[in-house]
Amino acid sequence: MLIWSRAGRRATLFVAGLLIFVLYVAPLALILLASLAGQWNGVWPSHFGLLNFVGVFQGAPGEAIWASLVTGVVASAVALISGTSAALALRGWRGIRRKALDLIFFLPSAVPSVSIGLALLVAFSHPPVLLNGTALIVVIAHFVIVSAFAFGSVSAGLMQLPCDVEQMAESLGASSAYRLRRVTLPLLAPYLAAAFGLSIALSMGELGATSMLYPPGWVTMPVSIFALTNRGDVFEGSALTVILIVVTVTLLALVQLAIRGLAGGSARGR
Amino acid sequence: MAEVIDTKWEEGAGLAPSSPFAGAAEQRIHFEDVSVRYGATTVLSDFTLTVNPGEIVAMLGPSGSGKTTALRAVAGFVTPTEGRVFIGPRDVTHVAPNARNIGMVVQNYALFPHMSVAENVAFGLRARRADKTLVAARVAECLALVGMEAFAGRMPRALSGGQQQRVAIARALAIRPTVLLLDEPLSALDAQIRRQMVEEIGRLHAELPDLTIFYVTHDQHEALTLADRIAIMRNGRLAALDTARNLYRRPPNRFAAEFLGRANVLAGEVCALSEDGRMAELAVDGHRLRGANLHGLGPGDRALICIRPHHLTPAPAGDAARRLDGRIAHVDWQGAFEVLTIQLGTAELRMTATPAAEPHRIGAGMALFYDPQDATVLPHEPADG
Ligand SMILES: Nc1ncnc2c1ncn2[C@@H]1O[C@H](COP(=O)(O)OP(=O)(O)OP(=O)(O)O)[C@@H](O)[C@H]1O
Ligand SMILES: [Mg+2]
Repeated sequence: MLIWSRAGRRATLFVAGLLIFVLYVAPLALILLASLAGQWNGVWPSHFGLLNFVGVFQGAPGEAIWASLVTGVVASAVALISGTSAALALRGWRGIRRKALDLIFFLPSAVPSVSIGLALLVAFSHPPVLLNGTALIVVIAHFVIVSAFAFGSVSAGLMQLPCDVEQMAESLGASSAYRLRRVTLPLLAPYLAAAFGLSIALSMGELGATSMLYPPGWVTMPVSIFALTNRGDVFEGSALTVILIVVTVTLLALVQLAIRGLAGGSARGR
Repeated sequence: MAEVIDTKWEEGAGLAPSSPFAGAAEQRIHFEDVSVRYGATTVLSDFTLTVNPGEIVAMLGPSGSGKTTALRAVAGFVTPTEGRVFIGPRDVTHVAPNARNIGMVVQNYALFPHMSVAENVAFGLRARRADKTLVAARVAECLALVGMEAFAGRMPRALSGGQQQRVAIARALAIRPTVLLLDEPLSALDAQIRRQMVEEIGRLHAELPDLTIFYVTHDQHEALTLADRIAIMRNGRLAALDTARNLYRRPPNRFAAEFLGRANVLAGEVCALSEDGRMAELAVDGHRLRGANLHGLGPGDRALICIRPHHLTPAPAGDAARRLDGRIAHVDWQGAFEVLTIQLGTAELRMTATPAAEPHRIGAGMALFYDPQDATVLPHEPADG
């Protein structure tokens, strides 16, 4: 085959590298450049400096960082807790009930987020539940979007757990609470971490539903980026994008570290 | 691996032979007419068996015969559709697994992968909120018992299969279980380690003579070596139950005879009895074969005769009355001995013999002899079913 010849392998690598560069690295690099630039008149931007970042932190966009962080962490944490509880409670289900359940939890990820935004807007803009214009409705929307995802990953994790290990805990006399705390959850930790991390990433980048729901005081980063670039402020928009990426990646790394610490701690005993 | 195998049980801070385990009568396992059904399939039917305190009962049987199901009914992971399970005097049929105080060891070890060896062993005690000093002492004691003291800090993934299984046994013993259930504990190990582990389990039982062990296996060697009594399962029923020696010498039926040690079983008809009726002579395909008539069969009854391959020897010259003239059909050389298949009319007999200096010639005549006391006459039953 082509790739088994040396030249073929080189050619394949070159094409793949080029694609990755053009579609992935170059746009990000340009955003980084733009975030540092003061002007962009010729082929390359000019007047480099940190003014855009200063602008972001001093102005309203700075508040977007806080709004996004709180929304992402709260929605993901609640989704993780409820998704894990649901997955644990329903893990015994098999067959048609299981399929129906999976379908229900798959729906929110299949439905466009704009529709979720609209649905919440319609549902919660009259009494008795009037959430329209509050930060809470944004958090709820994010929760709806990521909870299905959290449930899905934790369920998948539970399927992977060796069931005889849990039975062994039981036969050794562990109560169900003890077994959950000392065996099931620690074994599930990597899946919980993945679910939480990806939920945060999903939430930090969410635009569709948020743009329909956000109140004046609770503008998330993607909404703010959209607004900035929309009114022509590409440089500050780029700066905020860079911040968004850095914040998200940092959060993911922290989650990984925390879970690893927890798992290590439980492995070393009380 | 080798240095680990060589640990001395003797010096282990042994659990004192009787004291730590519950009173003897507590340690009985009793199945009473237990049936387990899944929908239309009956996995265990009318199963009755008692494992006495301090006894090792091995359960043998083909795959799918219900061995694991029976063991899990004691552990509490299978609830009988009918019948009751007792541990000691206590009816545990509907008692939760975590309230049965049972030690269990399974084929794939099922150690907690996120805990060290010591934590694995301590798990059951910690789950019972045992005192810290007791936990530490018991962990050390049980690890010593299986020769794994040096590995207390290791994670299970850094252990060999044999070592993991020792830890699993230590973990099961640490809670001072009323009974110990072993489900094919050695099947995942290679032949050599398996032999060593069989010996060590035997030694373990010598150190803990009050420990009742229910041992599921499909390895006859393990069962014959370890068990006080052997239960043979077939299609969810108990096909035979006796001491290893009795089962081997006097199998109660065709299945037990063939399953345990692959005895020769020939079908024929009773044509004569000894004066006291204790011996019967069968007409089998033109030959006359004698054996012990334990089932009291009478002349004219259809019957089977069961002869162990190692009870057949080449006939001494002259004894024409009791010799069986056949032909060598096949020779299977196994090193220390060889298995000859002898064609006797339409029947075939397997015999084991020390390898001859000259290789046997296929088709050569061969006269066989056996002591009729070593053969058992059984009621007739078809070969399969
Ligand atoms: N949950 C279940 N639902 C339906 N059938 C089952 C279930 N569990 C076991 N069986 C069936 O019960 C029968 C006995 O199973 P069991 O595991 O007790 O056999 P076994 O004697 O331990 O076999 P092996 O030597 O292969 O371990 C098998 O035919 C199996 O398919
Ligand atoms: Mg089994």
